[in-house]
Amino acid sequence: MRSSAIIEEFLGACPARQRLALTLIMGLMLLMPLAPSQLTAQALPFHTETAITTGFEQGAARTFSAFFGRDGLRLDGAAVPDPMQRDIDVFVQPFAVLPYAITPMWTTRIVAPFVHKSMDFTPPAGTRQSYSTSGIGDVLVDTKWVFLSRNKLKGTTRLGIEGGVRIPVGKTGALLPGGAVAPRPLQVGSGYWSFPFKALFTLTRDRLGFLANAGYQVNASDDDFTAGDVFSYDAALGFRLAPGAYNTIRDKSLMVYLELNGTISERDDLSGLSNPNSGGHLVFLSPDLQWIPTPWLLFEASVQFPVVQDLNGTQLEYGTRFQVGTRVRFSSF
Amino acid sequence: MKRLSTVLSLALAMTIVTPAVTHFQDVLAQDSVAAKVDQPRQIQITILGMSCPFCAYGVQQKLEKLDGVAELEVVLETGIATLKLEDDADFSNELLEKTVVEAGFEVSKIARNFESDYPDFERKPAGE
Repeated sequence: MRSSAIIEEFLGACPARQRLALTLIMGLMLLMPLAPSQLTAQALPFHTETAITTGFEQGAARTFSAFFGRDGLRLDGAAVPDPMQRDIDVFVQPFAVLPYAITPMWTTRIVAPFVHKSMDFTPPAGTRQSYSTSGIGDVLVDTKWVFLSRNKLKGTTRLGIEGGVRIPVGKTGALLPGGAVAPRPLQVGSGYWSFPFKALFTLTRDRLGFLANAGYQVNASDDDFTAGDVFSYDAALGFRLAPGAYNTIRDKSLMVYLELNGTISERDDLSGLSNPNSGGHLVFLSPDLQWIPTPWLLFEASVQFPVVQDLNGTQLEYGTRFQVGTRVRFSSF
Repeated sequence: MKRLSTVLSLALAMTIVTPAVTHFQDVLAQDSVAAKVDQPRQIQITILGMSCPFCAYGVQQKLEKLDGVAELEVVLETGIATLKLEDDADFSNELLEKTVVEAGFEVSKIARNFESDYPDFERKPAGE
């Protein structure tokens, strides 16, 4: 199938307004790397993974606070009344450490998130109730290998792969006010092992950066439950607002990014039966800001707007996601 | 006779001008040597692939750790890392390149402003 046909098919599934917005964004993202400006280095967007490594004997740490919610039922894309009037809020604080690089182009990473989930709801013929749980979520251990690197002055082009395992250490037994075990999406942990894999592309030229990822996550079973596998795609454009030209490495930098992050999830499976109210296509669009006051420290913020929510069956709608965070560089040895 | 006087005039002019020029050249050369002696010994490495300061921080960290570097300046705009050296310190091109490569980048040129056992180095970009 020709690429234009694939894009047509992809866009065809979206409502007209979203289709127009996505067409403009995708067009912009495809054209920007061709802009005749001096393109470098805006290679660390908030959500899209970079193919730039920390280097041998160098490490980095990252953490951010993410707030988002889900409320309001959707049935095949249209809003429907939620008899329980559920209102879910989630707070996630991942702590990521890149403790060691096996080679200059092969790094390792551990991510352990603190997760807090809460829900207000009205049970049938009952009064408004609240539920909440918190704790350390599932831990991700992965590795990134950059196998192609073409460098030039003030720029680089790199290709890499990233893969690992998410270990289900987060608790899964939190109870609802009535005493029943809360559904999986309301638990801190998933309960199942998963194996994410991504292909990474990064291009930087002077003030501009372009990054793209394509990934797939295989989910293992837990008892009779199997979460649907997830295909993901990401694209990010970065532009350095200041300085126009660097004098030294100590110059303060301000970057702006525009990211498109999508997931297509298969339906979950319970005891051999597919759950019709699970999985679907979800796309977030996010402008990000990044401030580098000194070469070893970075502050960042991102707001993710859900622009496509093509969810299967009846599911709660995703809200806007707010995120602020920081990254730190250090020597491993 | 006229030809002889012309030749003698030229010879006289040469006799006067040549030492003056030679002396001027010596002065220039001495100034140049003095200037070179006055300048701190430094190595300039042109590095390819550096993007933002956060990405390039590893280069700075690794070069600074070399024993004998008094001062280091990395300029992203030109891709040049300037190592000002202590006393008689010097580093082989192999060591400098290994250090930069371990930080995840690439060396295109190494130049010194002093006499060294190691020759200046320049790698032509691929395709040239």
